[in-house]
Amino acid sequence: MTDDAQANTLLTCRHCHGQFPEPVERCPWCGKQIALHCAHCGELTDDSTLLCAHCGQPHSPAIEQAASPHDSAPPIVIARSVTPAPKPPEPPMEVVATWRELRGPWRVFAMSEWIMRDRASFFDEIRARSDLSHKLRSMVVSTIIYLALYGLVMGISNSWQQALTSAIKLPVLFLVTLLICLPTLYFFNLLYGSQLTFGQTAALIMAAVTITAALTLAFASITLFFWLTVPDYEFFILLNVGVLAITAWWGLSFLRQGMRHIQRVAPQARRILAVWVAIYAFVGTQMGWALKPFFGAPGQPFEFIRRTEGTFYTSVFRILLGLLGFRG
Amino acid sequence: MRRIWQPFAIVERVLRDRIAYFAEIGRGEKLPAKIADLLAITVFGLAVFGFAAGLSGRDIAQALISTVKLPFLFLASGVICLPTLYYFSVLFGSRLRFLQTITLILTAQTVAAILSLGFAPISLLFWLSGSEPLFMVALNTAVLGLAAGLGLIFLVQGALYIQEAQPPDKITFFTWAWMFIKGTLRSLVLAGWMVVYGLVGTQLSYTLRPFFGVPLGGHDFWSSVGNVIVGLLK
Repeated sequence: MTDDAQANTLLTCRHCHGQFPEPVERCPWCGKQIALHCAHCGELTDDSTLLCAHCGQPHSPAIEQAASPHDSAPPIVIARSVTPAPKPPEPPMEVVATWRELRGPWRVFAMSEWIMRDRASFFDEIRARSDLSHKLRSMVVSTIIYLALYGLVMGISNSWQQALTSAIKLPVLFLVTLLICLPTLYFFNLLYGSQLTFGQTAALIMAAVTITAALTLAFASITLFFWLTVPDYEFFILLNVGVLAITAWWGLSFLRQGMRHIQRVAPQARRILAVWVAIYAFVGTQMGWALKPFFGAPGQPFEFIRRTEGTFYTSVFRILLGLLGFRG
Repeated sequence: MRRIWQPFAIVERVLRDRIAYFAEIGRGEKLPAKIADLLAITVFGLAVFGFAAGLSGRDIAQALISTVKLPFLFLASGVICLPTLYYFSVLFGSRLRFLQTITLILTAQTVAAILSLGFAPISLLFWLSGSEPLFMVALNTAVLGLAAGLGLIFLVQGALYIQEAQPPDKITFFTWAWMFIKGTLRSLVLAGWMVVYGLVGTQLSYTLRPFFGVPLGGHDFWSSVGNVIVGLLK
């Protein structure tokens, strides 16, 4: 009941009739100005009227000097709109309603459905900054579950212990990497002139990770099937790497669409994305290196974490040097 | 509680709305308040990164010392080079006032501090996962150098923007380049000053060593760099 009441208190832009949850100066749909801060009391008030809806004074000095008010209609308050106005193309109602109205643990699964099925409304909500913390929570929980399940399949080539530890390690890999990278990603965002806030950046990237996680899980049964019928360890690794590459590619394309959708002017989106990917990959490879092993050759003894000194890059570098004939 | 986060409001303005920020400096709006905020952020960001970098040698005492040393390094370099920038700019006909010069130098250092601050968790990750000390030194130095370089770009753009009698609204890379070329002598002063600033900074970092707690050898900054590279290749 409360949710219904809340749904009715969306505000409506008088230019394009788009709806949004919070009073803002510019409509998040069409970008036209719809409100301004009153010169007397500072509150946000409709700019199509002459008087401030809160204190009753003329809301800007220009109006005080005007000869006579042009607007004879009563001041229209930027208030809760009760009359339904023609809306911009609405998403299929059952998908949007599902995540919003579900309560309880199954709600998290509706989130990835929504993201995959109807991106437009999801991006619009991120742009309007509605309910970001709840969205983030659902996305994080669903990502953990999906990646844990796929981690089980990854580790199964070695032993059930490896399966369990990979189930823990894979979500940690993705999410902790994201956490570590977020400040840098946000600062590069700012540097390139993006209008996204920190919360929007986090939500957008997290959505891409969630899609990647969901798609990865979709391959889990196939991977398991191939392991059971083709017990070749190298092939298994290749298969997993291939799956992760495909799903990562999809997640990236989602991210690109999101950036373009949310920002009316997407400043140098491609460059921002390239920097993001570089940073995330840089940190992610080191994280994966620190957390290894994820797989395990069949017959090898189980190791929780195989500690080697050094970084991914120095090891690769040394291997390269060795291949080229330089011995350290 | 809000007072603590207040200096960070300027970070968004500096990074995202660069032009508007430079215009404010050009008009001399609230410069002392800006300077105070920039100072706070510079010290905080570099202190955090100093701590992360000082862990390279696996010595917590070194990390704590670097927390103090790194902000001091940047601020001291700025102070040492400030008169040079101001007087030589004035000599060559710059419109920059003294407070504006201080603000611009501090802006450059704030940008460096913020980018380093953002990188600090990444540096910590590499440290926690057992990277070699030399790799940590190389990584942290590279990041700091990049951040400082980006900061200097802000300085140049700010100086160029403020000089313009009628600054354009939309500025691309070529606009900046054109402004730089137009300035000729003043731009040469700027470029020359950046070289001096770099020399002072690197030499000061050598004098104030150690930062990382890793024995690097060498008798000045550049030979230390050489030693690090040789050590990495081994």
